[in-house]
Amino acid sequence: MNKIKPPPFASWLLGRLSGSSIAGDYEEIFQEMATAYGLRSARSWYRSQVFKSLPMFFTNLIYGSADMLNNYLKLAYRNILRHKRYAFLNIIGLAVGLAACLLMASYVIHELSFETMHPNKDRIFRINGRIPMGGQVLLNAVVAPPFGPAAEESIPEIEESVRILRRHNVPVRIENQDFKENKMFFAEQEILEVFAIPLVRGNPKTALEAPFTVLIDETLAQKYYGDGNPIGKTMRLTLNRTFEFEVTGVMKRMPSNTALRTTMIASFPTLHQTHGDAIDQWQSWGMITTFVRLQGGSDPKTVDEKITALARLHLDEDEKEASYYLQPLDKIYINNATHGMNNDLDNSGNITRLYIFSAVALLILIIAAINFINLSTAKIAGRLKEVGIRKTCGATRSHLIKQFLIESLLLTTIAMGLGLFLFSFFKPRLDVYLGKTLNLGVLSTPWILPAVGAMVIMVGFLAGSYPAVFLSRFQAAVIFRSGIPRGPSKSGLRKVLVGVQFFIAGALIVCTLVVLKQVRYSETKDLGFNKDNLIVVNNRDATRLKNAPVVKEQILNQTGALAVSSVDRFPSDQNRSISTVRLEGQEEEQGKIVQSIEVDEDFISTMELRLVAGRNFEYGRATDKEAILINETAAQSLDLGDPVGHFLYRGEKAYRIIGVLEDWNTNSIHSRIYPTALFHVDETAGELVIRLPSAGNQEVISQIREVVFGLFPEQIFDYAYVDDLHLRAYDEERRLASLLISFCQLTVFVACLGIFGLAAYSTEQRTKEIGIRKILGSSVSGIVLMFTNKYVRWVIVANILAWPAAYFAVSKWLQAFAFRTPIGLVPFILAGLMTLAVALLSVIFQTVKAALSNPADSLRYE
Amino acid sequence: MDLLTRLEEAILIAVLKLKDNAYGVPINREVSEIFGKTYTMGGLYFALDQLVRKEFLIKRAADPTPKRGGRSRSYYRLTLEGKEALELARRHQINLWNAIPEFNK
Repeated sequence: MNKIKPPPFASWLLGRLSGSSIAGDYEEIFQEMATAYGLRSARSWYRSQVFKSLPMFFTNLIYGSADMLNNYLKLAYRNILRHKRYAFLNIIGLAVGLAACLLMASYVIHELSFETMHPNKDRIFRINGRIPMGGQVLLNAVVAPPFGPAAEESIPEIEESVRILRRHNVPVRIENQDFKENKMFFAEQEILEVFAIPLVRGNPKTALEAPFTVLIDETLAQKYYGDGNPIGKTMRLTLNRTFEFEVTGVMKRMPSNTALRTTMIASFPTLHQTHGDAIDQWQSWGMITTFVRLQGGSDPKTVDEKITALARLHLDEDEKEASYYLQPLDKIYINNATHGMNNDLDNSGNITRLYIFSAVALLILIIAAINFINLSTAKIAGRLKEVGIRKTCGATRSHLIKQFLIESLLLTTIAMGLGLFLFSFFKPRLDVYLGKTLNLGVLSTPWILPAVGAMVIMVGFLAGSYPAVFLSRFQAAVIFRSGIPRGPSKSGLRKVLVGVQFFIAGALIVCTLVVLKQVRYSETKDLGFNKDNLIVVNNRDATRLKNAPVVKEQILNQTGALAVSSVDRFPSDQNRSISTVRLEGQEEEQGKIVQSIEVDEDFISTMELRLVAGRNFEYGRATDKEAILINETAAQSLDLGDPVGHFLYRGEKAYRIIGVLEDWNTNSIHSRIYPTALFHVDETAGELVIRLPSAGNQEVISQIREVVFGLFPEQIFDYAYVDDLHLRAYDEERRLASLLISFCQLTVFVACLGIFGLAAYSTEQRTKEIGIRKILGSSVSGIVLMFTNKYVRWVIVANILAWPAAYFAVSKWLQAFAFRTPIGLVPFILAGLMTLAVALLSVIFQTVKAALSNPADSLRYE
Repeated sequence: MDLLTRLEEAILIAVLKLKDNAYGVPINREVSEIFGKTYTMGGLYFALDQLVRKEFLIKRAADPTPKRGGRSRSYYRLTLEGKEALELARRHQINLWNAIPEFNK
């Protein structure tokens, strides 16, 4: 009989949770069940009782002792008031940590929630191409214009298709006011239905049917037309020429977590008018983003094969190698596999960045929680006398445990409440800063309150349980007999926790410094050309009128511009045109991909590029129309000893290499320098690169504007500084840097709170020791040194451990750049010094105060 | 005086009926039989504690027995107030049903 025992751990727990006599009842029933149904089922029943008794335990804890609870709360309240500083440090630290963590979380969640709002999102796909080119495979998110309709017609699985043409930086003129829209779409009527875009005004069935009609969103309607009804109003948009559009509807503002976010959608049939037949041809520019919606239950894999077959049927011989596939809508924004997608709808999200952010968010929360626990345990020894008196007055151990737990839970609750408040306060600012609407709110997101509640319980219990269990164990007699008994020797654990905090802080600072260094490097790196006072002017109408040289000449003659060059497609950021070139006698497949730019004779002098071999294009040499300049990288990759004089073939046409240019960064330094070829531009060049004098920029620009306006009254004057274009490529990094800086400050702040609290506590504990030491002849500096010593050691150790971790993290991040700043020793040393300095500051303040105090005061009562 | 809940009424009756053997397990058995459903010990003890607090029951700890893993039993007995409360409950019950005589067979 005696051998039949309930599971020991469960039995112990039950005893704890429900009290001895109930546990006895459980055991009795257990014995009965064991004889009746066998040991196995009896044991599992017993275990289940542990969980079943939990709700009762909590109800009892509160209900069974409403008066006591009241009393505990009162005690907790008084204790918090008495230790104002600790309570304050504790609460602030945890609140800030929580708020920071939630802010980070809201960003991460936003990024992960892309495209989740579309109904039928599982059935919506984008047609992407895989195009083999010069030994590489290019992923392309756009396809030939007739692809979508042809696929919809011939492939039964495809229920609906939507074609979208994307345009950036479109100049808009409303009456006499000029605007510029960052992004607009030309899209078919179906876009409204497939992506369920709601219209505030206008007919969603017909709004995009006629050419030259346009939908705008609420914000834009307000901006352009004020409060009135914008339907029927007109606007002028400059595409290849300037056209008049009629507003046929107003969309609701699109949420920021969709790659389809735009403020303006013009009708697709417009393109038939502006671009003519090109829009119906398979061979014409593949610039159309095509979405399809499949029938429910179709397999996208089989559709992949069908669309590839369809494309091969229509496309030219040299494009037969391309294959096509469907990419699920929700994989478009964040997807590592498609990194390097060309012509994507939006900047794609970066999963690495999300990892960084989640890690930082978690780290901050951990630091804050550690701090909280640390400070709570640090001050317990001071309360031994309280415990003794309570015990003498008849408090049982469980009373004391409850008292400590409730106190700790109360502190946690206040801190979390404050944290939530801080979060709601800063969230709108973050939204503005990011230009996105993050949909996470304390009340609007159902999981936040339960999650924070769970966190309160977890942190509260962790912080409270140690003092609760430890302190309540002492007997009153022991406490009073020996004066103050030796406090818990857990200071080792506390130091480790402080060490962990400074490890995290140190690593974060290193990362931030390196990110800053790289940003600085990107901004100041010598790009191989002079980017100061250089502007690019959009000259689209010249393409149609074929008078680029006229414009150029007039600008040179009539304005203060120092140098002007006609260019077609000035490369910036990640945008580049590419062509395949091959040497004489090589097959098409052996060709090399080069970045191609069409320029005129003045490009080199305008940009201030350096020629290393051969000559520039020269005026008056008719043969230069078939000449080509290449950069050093291209010369190397073509593997010609002296490339000047050789011929390169693009398609069937031969170009003679007349010169080699020193490498320069055409695009952002994220990418390496591409092999680049400069072709000779003709009179249809759509852009002008202009070097301005270093003084009076604005004046010259307005002169240029006059000239352009005189020649093309229809065209909207549109220019940008190359400098700005260049900087814009690093917006992302700058944003990351400034976010990291704020979070660094937070981490260091919270870690400092911790070390400040600990130092304050330990000096307070050792007031008498300090007094005695001073009497025995110790100097102030000696005492300060003694106290700071151990913190310094821990901070240094933490930093040294943090270095490899930080090094690993930043070198991973730097891989996104082809041109990187050397990491160097400076960030590490600087981070070490910074953490050390703040740690010392927070410690020294306390210890100096203690060391300066008069020993007569501290020892008076002995 | 507060009215008794059904569970409390059943517990009081069970304690009366069990006389000297009124502790957790048999009380639970009695009550469960009356209502045809099983109570967790926690739930039962919550009600028992409540009754003790209202001074309808008194609780007495007996010596630990090895059968119970070395844990003691708590025995319960009705107080005078407990008996009165039960009386009252019974009167209420009768009055209540007298209002509709056709149910009284």
